[in-house]
Amino acid sequence: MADVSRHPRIELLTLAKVEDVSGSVGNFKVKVRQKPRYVDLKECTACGDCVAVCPVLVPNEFEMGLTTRRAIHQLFPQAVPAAFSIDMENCLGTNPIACGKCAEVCDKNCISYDDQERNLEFEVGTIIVATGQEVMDATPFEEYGYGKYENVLSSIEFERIISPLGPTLGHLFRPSDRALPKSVSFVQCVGSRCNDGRGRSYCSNICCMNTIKAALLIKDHWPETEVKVFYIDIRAFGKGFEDMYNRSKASGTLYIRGIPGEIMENPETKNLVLSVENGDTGQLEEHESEMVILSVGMEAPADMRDLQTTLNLQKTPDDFYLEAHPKLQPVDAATKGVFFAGCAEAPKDVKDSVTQAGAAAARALGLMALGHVKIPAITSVIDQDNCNMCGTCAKACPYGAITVDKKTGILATVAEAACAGCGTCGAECTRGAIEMKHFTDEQSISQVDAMLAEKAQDKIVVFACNWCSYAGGDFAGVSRLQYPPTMRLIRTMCSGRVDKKWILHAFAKGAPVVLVSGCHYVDCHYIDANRWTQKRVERLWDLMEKKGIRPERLQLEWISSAQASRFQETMVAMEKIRQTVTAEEIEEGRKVFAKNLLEVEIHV
Amino acid sequence: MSSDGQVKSRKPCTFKCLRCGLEYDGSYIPAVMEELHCPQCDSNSQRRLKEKKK
Ligand SMILES: [Zn+2]
Repeated sequence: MADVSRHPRIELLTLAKVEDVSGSVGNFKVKVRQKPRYVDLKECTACGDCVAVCPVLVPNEFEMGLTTRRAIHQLFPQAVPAAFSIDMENCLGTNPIACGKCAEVCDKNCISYDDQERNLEFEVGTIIVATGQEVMDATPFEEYGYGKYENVLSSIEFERIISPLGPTLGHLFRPSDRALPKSVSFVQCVGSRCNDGRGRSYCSNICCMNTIKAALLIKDHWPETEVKVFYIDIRAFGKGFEDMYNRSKASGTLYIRGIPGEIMENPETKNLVLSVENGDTGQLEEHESEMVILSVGMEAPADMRDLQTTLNLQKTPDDFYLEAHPKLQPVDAATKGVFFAGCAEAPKDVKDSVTQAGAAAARALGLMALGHVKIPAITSVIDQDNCNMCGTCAKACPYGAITVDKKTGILATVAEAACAGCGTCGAECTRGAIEMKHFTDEQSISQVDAMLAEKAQDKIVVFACNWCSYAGGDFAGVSRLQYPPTMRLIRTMCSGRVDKKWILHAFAKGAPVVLVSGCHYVDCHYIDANRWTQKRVERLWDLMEKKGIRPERLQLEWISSAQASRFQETMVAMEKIRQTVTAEEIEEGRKVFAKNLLEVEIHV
Repeated sequence: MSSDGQVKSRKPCTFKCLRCGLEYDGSYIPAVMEELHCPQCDSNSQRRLKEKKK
């Protein structure tokens, strides 16, 4: 971090928040709001004279409230830049009584109570998102008595206690009597692997090793202290981790497979009794301990949501950001020119964070060194003569690649460098003013015509997205799974491209059934383009019902590239539905949609 | 809580599976798209049946 602050080509902006990002790869415009520090960064040498005279004491957030800090402070000892800042909410500097002591003693005159918030703007080529993670709250786990029993602490509080730079200078004690505990118990998976709504369902990745490290440290410094770890299973999968786990066991730490159902405090001794079913013996046991540490999980910071909107990022159900591809693009966002480092993408330890940060920096550097980007040859093309500036395309674009403004008369324009080629804009445009190169209306409609030219009544028209459902079909083929030969596939890059015109055209040409298929929600390769597919299909079901056509004749399925059997099952089900469609029904569909195609096109 | 962190109330409604025909009670959050699955056949062709218009 110190190297970063000294690097001539890195500008470090602390106390700053990204407010807005516009543009696309190579040409991002970033608006940043920087809070005032009230201390001149260039002049402050962190001598600490100001801290010595500051009369205000507030709980120290970095030390988890286990100690206090002054209103003028450095967030933590190794903070970069090594300068102080004033917490104006607590400072007496100007209001209500003039204190001004820090300003008086500062030789360098670094302190300015009138420092103002700054709005900054930058032009950047690439962006690396490194938003970090937060510790989960143990309070909802009432059975553990966190916040109620003095000697029940979270792992992050314990981390501060045993840190040589922490509030006790690394001396282990328990809060109730400040004495060295004779026994310490760790309870794993507090908030992690939790499906009852009080925590998160995922494994937080770092808690097992953090506990093993803490247990080793206790045994190293205070060998007489008894250490027990209550766990579901120990996940020590990193390099050297299993060895560390074995060392911890050899040092005398007792690992007990089972998570306590309850922790009770003895009000006299303030000792804690953990009731647990020992998974190895099947016995109900009670373990008394002088101190209990809850190994709390990690979660995405709440303000990651703001940046998600600003950068058009995609999130996983766990609220971390979703990478463009889990294996092939693990540090790339779906938005071109944006990369992830560290826990922005998932909880991880320091080593993995550093590895990922290096990869993200290399990816960004590669793009910038090249000076140009390769874009797919399938971007959208807008016929501006036909654009009425309704803005539907801009709303539908998952990448924010389209600019349009009716008020100022800006016709829809696509930034090709930002367009990923999903084609959702084209399918949503009510004027037919947007085409997608190589996946034009004409090309797809010609395919429909060709496949229904003969024996249309025997055919199943399937629109399949390139990445998932088409690949699922491929997988079904190579897996030799049998499915009805009546289906005919039309490939699009994304199911979002499947235009209502194409579907209605298929019915007009006598298709008994049509299937629209795409990626599952979490897998959509175009952020959230398949949500538009679903909306469109739902609107078509309403229209079909209104026109007296059975909505069942249009089906929607999400099939991943790995779901060969789901593809097979879907095709078998489609064939069954096809067989229920009568010749009269096909004729009715033909008539209704042939006649009204232009009319419905505008109203759907 | 929805994925954007805002607490939005779910509206009860009847769904119809367009593959197997099952009608069942469920709920949805207005203006939030969710991947729908039939509890019987797992199909995604799940239609929200509109409340009868007055
Ligand atoms: Zn069903």
